[in-house]
Amino acid sequence: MKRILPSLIVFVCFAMVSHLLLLFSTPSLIMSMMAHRLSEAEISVHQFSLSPRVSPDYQPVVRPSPDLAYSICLFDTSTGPVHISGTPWTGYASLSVFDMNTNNVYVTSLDEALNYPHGVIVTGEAELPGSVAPDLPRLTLPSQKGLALIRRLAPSQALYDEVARISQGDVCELVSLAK
Amino acid sequence: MQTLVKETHIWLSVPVLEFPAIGQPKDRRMRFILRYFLPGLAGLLVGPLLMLVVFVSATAITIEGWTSNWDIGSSQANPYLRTYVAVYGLLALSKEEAVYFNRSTDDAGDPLSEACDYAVTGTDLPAAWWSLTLYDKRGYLPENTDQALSFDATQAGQGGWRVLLSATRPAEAAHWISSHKSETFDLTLRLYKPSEALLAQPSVHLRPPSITKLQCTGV
Repeated sequence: MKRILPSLIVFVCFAMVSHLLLLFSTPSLIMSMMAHRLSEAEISVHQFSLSPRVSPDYQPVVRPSPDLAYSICLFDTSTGPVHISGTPWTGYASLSVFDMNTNNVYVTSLDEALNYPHGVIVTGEAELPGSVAPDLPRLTLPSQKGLALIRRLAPSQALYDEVARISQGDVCELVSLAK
Repeated sequence: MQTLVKETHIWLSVPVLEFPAIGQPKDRRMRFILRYFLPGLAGLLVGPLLMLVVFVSATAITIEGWTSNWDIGSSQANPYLRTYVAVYGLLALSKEEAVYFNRSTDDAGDPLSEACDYAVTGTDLPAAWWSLTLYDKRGYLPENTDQALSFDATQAGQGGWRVLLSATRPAEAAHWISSHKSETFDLTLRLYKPSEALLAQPSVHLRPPSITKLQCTGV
């Protein structure tokens, strides 16, 4: 036992370190990889982009729902607060915000039959005057970067086409703080 | 007492690694390799394998074979669940907006397979909208052109419903999900805007769909 104890301790230490490193880095690494893929697909920061209709040929993430139309926006609060809002939709629809560690930090309904705020202001370090979109909730993220996602129920091509039309009104933009 | 002191001395001396310099005796380098390098290398390989624990920790709620975890998407998720979601369901919503149930076996406990036909039956579900989607073993939609990938509340209508899972389009069934090119597969049941009662007492308020094997013909 005395002879193998040093080897055993080295084995356990290395196993623990590699396990914990992988465990704590995987979520943010996968989020960063997805953000990178979106950038490569020429999806701009601070702008919603409607994803092509989900099909066996187009599956941007694991387990996508073929019944939903997805609009996505990458944002960065390092240069100021970001205003995110979605056009209401007939049927199930939601606007959700994720930090870079995969946490769903905010979600609101965009179903026009329900009375929820249709957006949010994500603040960074800059102070936001109360006069800016006072009716929208404020949200501070643990990370400067994040991702906003709008899901709208669109199980047919006709409904997807309708989403494509109304999603032009979705907003993901830096708030102007000029006085 | 003497023995104890001896053991303590050994314990304290363990972490001190003496890296043998080039030019040192061969047997000393070999001893270093056997005693520290190879165990360290083995540890580096085994550590990531322990990530398989994520499969176990992802399940917190099981109702009639359907599994879920209310911490999905939440900042309360433990690191294992967070990793599981990142790998198998990135951008999942928190439970107030949606809950997700998965199932990979039929009512008899056998793995779901493209080689068999199944009848999935259910009733109204406690959510504003729900959907049932088939994914292959990699977690992606199967690569077929049947345009029958899921079934949802708008098709189910009120009351009971029945949907056929099979690799070929049925002649008569009103509702069909294609398992063509999926080999073995699983189902994901998404419940959007779940009721508060469901979130509080899932096993009381959810009557999940049953999955009955009809026949197996081989692929």
